[in-house]
Amino acid sequence: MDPARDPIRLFAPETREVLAVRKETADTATVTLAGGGRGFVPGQFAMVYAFGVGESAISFSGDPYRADIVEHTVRRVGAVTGAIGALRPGDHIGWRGPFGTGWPLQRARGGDLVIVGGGIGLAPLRPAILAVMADRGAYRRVAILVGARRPGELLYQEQLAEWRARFDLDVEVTVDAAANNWRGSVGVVTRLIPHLDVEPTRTTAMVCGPEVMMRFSAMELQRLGVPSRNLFVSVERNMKCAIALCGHCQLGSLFACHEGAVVPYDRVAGLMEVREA
Amino acid sequence: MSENKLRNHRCARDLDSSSLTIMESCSLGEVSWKKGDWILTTDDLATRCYLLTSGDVQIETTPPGRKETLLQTIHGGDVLGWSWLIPPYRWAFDARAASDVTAVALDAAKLREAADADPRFGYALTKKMFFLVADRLQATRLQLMDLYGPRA
Repeated sequence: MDPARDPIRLFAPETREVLAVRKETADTATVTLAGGGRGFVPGQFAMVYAFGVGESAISFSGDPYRADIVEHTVRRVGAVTGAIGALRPGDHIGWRGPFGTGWPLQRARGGDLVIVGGGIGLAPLRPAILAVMADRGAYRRVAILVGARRPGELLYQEQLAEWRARFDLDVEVTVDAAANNWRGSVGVVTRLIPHLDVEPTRTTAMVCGPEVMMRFSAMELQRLGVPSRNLFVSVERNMKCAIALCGHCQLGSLFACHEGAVVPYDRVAGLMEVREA
Repeated sequence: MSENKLRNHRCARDLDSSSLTIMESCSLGEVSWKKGDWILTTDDLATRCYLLTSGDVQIETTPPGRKETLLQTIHGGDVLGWSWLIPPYRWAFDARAASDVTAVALDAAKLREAADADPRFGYALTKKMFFLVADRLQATRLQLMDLYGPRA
């Protein structure tokens, strides 16, 4: 049997030790686990199991080239993510993966690259950014647009500062609301798109954040001239089995866990406008 | 120099040559501000329209008894202000340079006169301004949606 399809490996979580927990914001933390990501590609996710509480799909948020550790950034929004966010070094957790599709880094090589992350949506993009920086010469202009609710809710603040200091990346950060001591930009992240200095027809865009933000980002990118076939988004649904069996994550005919989370925007554009109960 | 900047501005790029010529005749040339300078203040007469060519501008307001509130940042390539087009032609908000800023200034009264005298130009200008207002309104709606907040 193909080990990649071995049901025992696919369904049975392996036990991982928590090496570190870094607080990112008031409700978000990055958990470092021992053991690598089993060759994950940026954009993929793992099923992380808080023993006795439950399992949740969490994107990889760390360096894809690290074989010794794996990182997941978790926002505490429910019982499982609350339990994962409350872990301490030395604790243990269940883990299975990697699952799903990745960002089209290979396809983007040789062209301009635009990465748009809103809120926790920056987490699944971080491995892609790290991969791009490790292979910076393979891309032309690289722009990273980051949006958050408030300055204190920006993820990876130290790393953002490092990225902004680089001459080979255009990094713009904006927040929806800020006190008057904020020196950065105020406004939604989509408003940064018309100012991008890229060659639209040679641009690949990777967008992750709330669906409304992704829809408006796609609209602005297309208005700029980026072909819709070059737009990719990450769709988040209720992933349960993670191998396209249970159907909990279905978005129309799409199994988000298997055909996603990263999908061409054209594939889901119509579905994102459907009102859901 | 300012003619080139005007013609290359995102707002003017797709205007026909006759409309561009009219717009150039309304130009007051290039202006600049240092970081922290006030560009316009609430209730002052809106006598100019600014096509920002570089830098960032904070749109602010100061509610009574409170500190100034940052509403939105606009950037080089954006247009600063539309109060000059709508009576009583007074600025509704404050604007401050968030970095060193350059812009092409247009004489608002001349723009209005030219729009009245040449409906073709007037229509092109109004469409531009409507696009700008719709864009800002849409962005404001997204801001109000609190996209990144906890889900209900």
